[in-house]
Order: sequence, then C-alpha cells, then structure tokens
Amino acid sequence: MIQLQSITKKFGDYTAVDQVNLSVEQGEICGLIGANGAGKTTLIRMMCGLLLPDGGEGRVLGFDIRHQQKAIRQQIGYMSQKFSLYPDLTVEENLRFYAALYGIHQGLEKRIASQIEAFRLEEVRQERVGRLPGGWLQRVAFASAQLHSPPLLFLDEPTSGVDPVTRRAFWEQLYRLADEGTTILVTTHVMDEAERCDHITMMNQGEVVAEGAVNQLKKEFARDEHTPLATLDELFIQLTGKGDHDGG
Amino acid sequence: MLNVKGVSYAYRGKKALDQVSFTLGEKKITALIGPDGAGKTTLLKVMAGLLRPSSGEVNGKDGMSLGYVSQFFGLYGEMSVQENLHFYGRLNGLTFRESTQRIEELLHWTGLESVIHREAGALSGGMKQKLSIAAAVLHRPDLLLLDEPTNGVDPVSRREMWRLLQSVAEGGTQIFAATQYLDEAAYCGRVILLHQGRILVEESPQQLLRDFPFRLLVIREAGHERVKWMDRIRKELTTGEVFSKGRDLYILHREGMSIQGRIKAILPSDKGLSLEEVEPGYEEVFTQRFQDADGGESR
Repeated sequence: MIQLQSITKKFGDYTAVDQVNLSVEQGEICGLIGANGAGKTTLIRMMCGLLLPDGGEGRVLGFDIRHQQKAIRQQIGYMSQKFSLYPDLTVEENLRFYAALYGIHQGLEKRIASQIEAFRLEEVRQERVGRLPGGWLQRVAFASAQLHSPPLLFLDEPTSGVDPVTRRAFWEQLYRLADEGTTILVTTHVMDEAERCDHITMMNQGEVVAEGAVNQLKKEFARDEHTPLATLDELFIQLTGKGDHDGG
Repeated sequence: MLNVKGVSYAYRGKKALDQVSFTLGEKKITALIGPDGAGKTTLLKVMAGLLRPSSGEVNGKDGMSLGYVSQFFGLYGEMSVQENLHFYGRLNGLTFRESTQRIEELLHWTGLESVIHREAGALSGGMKQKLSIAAAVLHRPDLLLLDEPTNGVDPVSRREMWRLLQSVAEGGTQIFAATQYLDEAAYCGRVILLHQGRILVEESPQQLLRDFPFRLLVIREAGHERVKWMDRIRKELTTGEVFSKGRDLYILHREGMSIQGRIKAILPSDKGLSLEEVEPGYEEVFTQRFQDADGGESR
C-alpha cells in the first residue's frame, strides 16, 4: 500500500526528512511516531500528494508520489489534527461539503445517512460544528474522512485530545476497518496511541530511529531480555534522548 | 485549606457540576480525572473564583494565593520568555528585584535558560507549558490549579513537567491538576474521578488499584482476526470488557476461573495463541469506573 525508498525533503539548509524508508502492507495500522519537529508531518504530506520530495522514490496505492499526486489525493482519506471542519456549518453540512470534495454524487443521501448512523451523529446533525466538544468533533472528522470508503487512511493524532473511553471506542473502529482490509497510517507523539498500532516507525530529527512491531521493539530495546519495556514512553525517551527540540 | 462544599453549576439548563464536595488537605498533589465534558474545567474555574457556583460554596480561600494554568496558552506571544515572566511578577505584586531573583531560579528549574530572549510564541508546545507554569508559580502560590498541563506534549516533556510540578509541591504549594493521561495518577497522592459533574470517587491511586475487583487476561499477537474474536469473547462474558491494543487482545473480567477455559475454546488451537494473566493498571481501573458510571454498555 505504501512503499518509500530514501525519501528526502529539505527546506533550505534544513533537512526535514532524511532518507526515510517505509513499507506498509494492506490491513496494517502503522504508527509514525516522533516529537514535534521530527519530520512526521512533512513525510505525511509527501505521501498524501501534497508535497514533492527532493530525493528518493515512493508509491502510495500503486501511484507514484511524484507524478500521480492527484490520483493519490482522490483515493485516500485524511483526518488532520485540527480536524479541518467548518465551524459555521452544521455536522450534516460538513459531511455534504466533504462528499462534494470527494466527488460523491451517486448514492449521496444514503451514504450521508449511513455515516450519521454509524458514528452516532443523529443528535448533533443540525448543530454547528463550532459548538461541539472535542470528542464529537473527532467523530465528525472521522466520518468525513471516510465518506468515500478509502482503502488508505491517514490520521494525524486522531485521539490525542479525547478521553480514554472515547479513545478505546475509536480504536475499536480502526481495528474493525483494518481487519476488513483498510490500511491505516497514524501519526502521533502520544505514546498511548502508538501502543495501539500494529507496527511503528519512530522518527527523530528527520530520520527513522526504530521500526518494527510494538511488542518486538519493547523486547529489542529492553535492558534485560526477560523483561520487555512496560511502555513505549521508555523507548521514546531512550531513542530521542530529549523529546522537545523546541520547535524547528 | 480549601474546602469545596456542595458546589453545583448550571449552564444553559445543564448541570455542569452537581453537588461536588471535597477538601484539599495534606495530600500535596491531586489529579482531577474525567472524560470530555465531565466538568473538569468548570470545577477549576469555580475553585479559582472565575465562576460563581449556582449553589454551594468554596471556603478557605481568604488570604490564599493562587496560580492558574489554563488549557490555552495565556502568555504574550510577541514578548520574550523573560519579559513575560517579569510581567507576571509585576501582576502578582512582586518587586523587580524579587522577580529577577525568582525568575533566575525558575529558568534554571524549567530548563528555559537557553531561550530567555526568545519570543514566547515561537516556543514548542512543551516549552510553552513550562513557561506557563513558571509564570503561575512566580509568587509561590498556596494553590496551583492546572487544566490539562500535559495535553499534547511528548513523553519526555510530560515527565519533565511532572518533575517540575513535584518540586513545586515540595516548595509548599498544593497542586490540583486536571488531566486526561490516566498513568499520571502515579505522580499524585490522590485522584478525584469526575463524571457528568459528579465525583465518582476520591482516593489514593494505589488504593484504587488494590481495590480493583477485575482481573486482566491478554492474548498476545491476536493479529488480524482480533475483532472477530473480540466479538465472540464479548458474548461469553457477563462482566467486564474486551478490547484490543495493537495486536494484543485484552479481557477484563470478574468471573470465575472457568472463563479461561471458555475463552480457549473460542480460540483456534492451531495458531499457538496463549492466554496470559497480567496486572491491571490505572487505565483499566479508571476506564472501568467511567464505563460503570455510563451504565448499560459495560456488563
């Protein structure tokens, strides 16, 4: 679903992404982990067809990330950290807006109705999005990102601001999608989210510093081979030393 | 000593807080934990005196000095770190000399020394939070209220933040912090779980762990049939929850030992899957409390 080789991106003298390799199989939930400024967002933007790499090769859903950006954009679902919803529009109007953006005409009414049902949005259907609390926003954003049933979903910190009960329920939806074959790429610096992925790729200062299945990495980086690391927090601290590289 | 007594707060006909009572006493650090919309921010604002409760009262605040760190960055983005701190010192009635000395101490403590001349708006999320805390404790308040101080910061910064808060507490300041990170309870002498405006429980986190009646089983590497098994195991359970975390499948239950056999019967025998018992953590304890309070959904 995603194949990247030596992808590099520079902004002036600053190397935001440095020779990154990444491979994500169908039905996998891959976590792209790192502190702010580690290069996650730049990498995602290249995979989504929003930014051209300076070096390296990459394919997303079989399309070339340099030459077939438009095709990629039409086939993926993307949910940003800031949710990109229109605060002055109602929940239903936001869904209609995104449906138009994704070019859904046939079966539009049915699709909107089914998303409203699936994400339990009936009671807020006519509410302006700007007046909803965080947990609801996340649901509306997720319903929007999936209107066109994309085979590949990019989620930027999908549950960083929501409470644990909502978070657990949200991830169950992701597991259902993944087990049915949707490929999901999650970027986050919240280790509780990272723990929930199948595989993670950890970035620091534009480079990949660790890559593998979560359980595997916890064993690999343990001080003593019989007691794997209890949390990914410890791995993150080991590998990035200092987390917050004051912007960048 | 701050005493919150029967506090209710209604907003647009909805009760954001419902008969909330507790006392801040000898426990130095208290975590306020609750889902979105539980009323955490409202409670902090009532305690800070920013909102007047619809009924009930907050006693013991006379002569008490307060620090408040809100969810939003409240400092001046175009002023430097140092200027912001001096400004807050002045606001809190410190002389320039007092401020200067205290700022030096705090800059060292927070590790913000290297950025004193940088504009506050240009700092990273974690640094902004540290600066907010430094500004709020310049005048050594008796009580420091924090609204989700570690929201959105990475693990290293989160740990540093709690170390900072622990040293603030050692300096004699009571700390009352709302958080969504359940594992942060470990830093606190006491937790208050808030749900739909009501206190569910007020207890030391260690005691809550000891009193937890559920047991936790895990199936490692359940992989890509996890949801299928999740649904089947759920049907077997009369208590608790089944949830997935990555490739592992967790079963939280309070049934007899027979549950292990019943689960094994569901799992295919040829995949080498094993059932293992593990210790529940804060996440399981708190999430279960909240789900119980939601009613219905958890059996």
